[in-house]
Amino acid sequence: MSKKKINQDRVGYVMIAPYYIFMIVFILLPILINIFLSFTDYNLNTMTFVGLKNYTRMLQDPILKRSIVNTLLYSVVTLVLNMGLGLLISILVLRTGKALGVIRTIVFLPYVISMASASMIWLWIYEPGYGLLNSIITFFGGVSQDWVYDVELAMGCIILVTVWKFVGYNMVIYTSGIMNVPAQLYEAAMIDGANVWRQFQYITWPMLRPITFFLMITGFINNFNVFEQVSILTGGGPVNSTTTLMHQIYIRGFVDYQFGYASAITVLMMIVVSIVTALNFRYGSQGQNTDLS
Amino acid sequence: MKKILALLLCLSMTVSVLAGCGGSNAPAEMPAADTTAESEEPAAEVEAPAEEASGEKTDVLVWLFSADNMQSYVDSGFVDRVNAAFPEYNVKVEVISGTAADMETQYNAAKMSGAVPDAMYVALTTFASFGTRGEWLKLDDYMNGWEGMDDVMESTLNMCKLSDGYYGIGMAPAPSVFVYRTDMFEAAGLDPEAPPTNWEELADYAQKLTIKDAQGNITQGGLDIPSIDTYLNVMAPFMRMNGALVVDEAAQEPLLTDPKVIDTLEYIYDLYSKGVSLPHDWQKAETVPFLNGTSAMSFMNLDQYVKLIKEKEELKDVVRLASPVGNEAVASFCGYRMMTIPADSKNPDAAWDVIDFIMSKEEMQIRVENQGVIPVRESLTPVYESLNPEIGDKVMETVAVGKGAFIVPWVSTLYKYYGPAHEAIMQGVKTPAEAMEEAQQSILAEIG
Repeated sequence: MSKKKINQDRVGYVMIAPYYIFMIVFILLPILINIFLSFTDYNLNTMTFVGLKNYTRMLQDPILKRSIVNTLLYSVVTLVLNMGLGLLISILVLRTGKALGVIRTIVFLPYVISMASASMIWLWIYEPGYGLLNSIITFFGGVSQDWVYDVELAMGCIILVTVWKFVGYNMVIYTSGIMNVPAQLYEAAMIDGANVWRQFQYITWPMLRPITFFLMITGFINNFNVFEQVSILTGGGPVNSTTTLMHQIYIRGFVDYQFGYASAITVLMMIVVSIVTALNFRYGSQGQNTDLS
Repeated sequence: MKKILALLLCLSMTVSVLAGCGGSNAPAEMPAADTTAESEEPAAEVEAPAEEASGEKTDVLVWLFSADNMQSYVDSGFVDRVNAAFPEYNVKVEVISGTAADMETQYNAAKMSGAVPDAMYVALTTFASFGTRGEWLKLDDYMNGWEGMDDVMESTLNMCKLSDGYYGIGMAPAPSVFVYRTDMFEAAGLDPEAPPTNWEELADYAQKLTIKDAQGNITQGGLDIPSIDTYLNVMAPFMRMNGALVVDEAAQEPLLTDPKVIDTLEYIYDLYSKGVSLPHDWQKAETVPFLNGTSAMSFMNLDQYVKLIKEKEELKDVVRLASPVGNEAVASFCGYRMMTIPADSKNPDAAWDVIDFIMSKEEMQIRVENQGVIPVRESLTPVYESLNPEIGDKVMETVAVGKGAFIVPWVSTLYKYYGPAHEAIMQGVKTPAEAMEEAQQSILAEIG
């Protein structure tokens, strides 16, 4: 290797060093510390090495099992609704033409509100006594509901808040994807007699696969980290019907001060997210090589 | 030249990243109002060794949190008074905004960075949960010779003990009072001068005060029964009214399967299932029906009552305090705010001197007169009652029969399993006996 090439490499390494140092210190190191803590019984004061005790305890923890089921249910339903509605609204919005900007702004607006604020707004909407939802229902002579206090409805209430907040983001991404589909493909399809559904099936959907893949990965990871709306709206109740993995990590760590056990749950969560992401990369990215030539 | 510039730029970025990661001797950053005798001093000096910071003086850092109008108390010249009383100290006070939970978060951050205060004002729940994991200094040596021991209420002193002695000193009770609406009583044909005093009357009144529309929707609740009461703020007093201990603090044992606990929950569920209350979470004030004007009777923090009357003056003649309710016994919830000395305090002796000053009769009288704080010294009870003629006697009655959080190391485990069990009962998913049996077993399995 020439001297000039070696010098160029050194400069390159130095230039990327800040990012890698940042990543090592703030991402890699905390992950390693977290893995180490998962083998201890740490309460901020004392630390005892307990081997695999935290991991075996997870197998017998009914609340944790419930939180895993809740997290998966929430993640899948929210992901499907967000992506499905986002795509549907983007198609409808593009077809309305003139109102595009206005509708897009209205649907996107909740995305810019913080989740804590959004949850407080919905706490008022769901309030059984004077909340907006029950006021509307009783105005039309209906029977009011307990919403977030009802074990059957609480998870649905949380999912609705998330969909309300994030559907606009999915819509915007899908809209930009649809607008980037070459118009000549649709023209050719129309000449061949393809109806709207066929155009969507054979042109729009295949062309949106990279975007769908991106939204799926990021959406799943976001959904798996759900915490704020759970903490504010239900606190994980009623009867643990809305507690999630992230909520359990918070409770075990910062309420019970069982940082070792909380770290073990974090490791479990990291493994699950990694597996799902790997599966998505393996199978979800197929068909991204659409040939337009 | 370009390469040199690029290298310099990268180096400076690397250094700044590393600087950000490195340890610091500066105290943990806090959203706090820093009130010091010399407030123009840079914040970093709070952490500096005493001799370096202020000559011969010893720095004493005190954390208060914003409950009980503590900011107003500090603003009234407390720092000047304490520094005048102890010229050898440089007392600095930080009033942490937010709740007791925020205070815990701040404390944890300070502990991790080695910047804990020398004395600290904490809620009873924090005192219990942190104390049982060794955060507070044992105060027996200080308290044995303390003049206040003869004047401070016995119930207050009992709250200051952990397993083997005193670890804090109760500074202000935080009772949960029984409140009712006289206008709703009159509308229901009930005598507003005679609120319920026992369970039978309470159930009868709750049903008479409930109003529903044609569809059966509750438009006015008779009595607030929380569907979520994770911390037993409402339920534990009811259980104690029925003669139950709930937790045997001496034996460190949960007693959720005690028949008296089950009876209590059956009584409560019976009332709830008759639709006398809108569902709500007792911890979330914005969901409490009484505070929203949709309920006739409730148990609420005195702070919430004071705030309600302050915000809605028209309710001053309508909302009244009643004596605590009883069944086998009279009981109420009464939290406390305590002064503690963290075990990691750098100047515990000086911290005790400051606590002694804060707990003195003169300073307590200032808080009673100016901040409306309930005194824990018996000699000041008449002062409080004379300053609060409408509520003073009811508040003191409530404090006298009040008990706060359970002082056991596994209190968070108790809450973790009691909360969902209570919710399951209120939802009709489980009977009280089933729910309490399951909670009891789960607690025992976890605490070993």
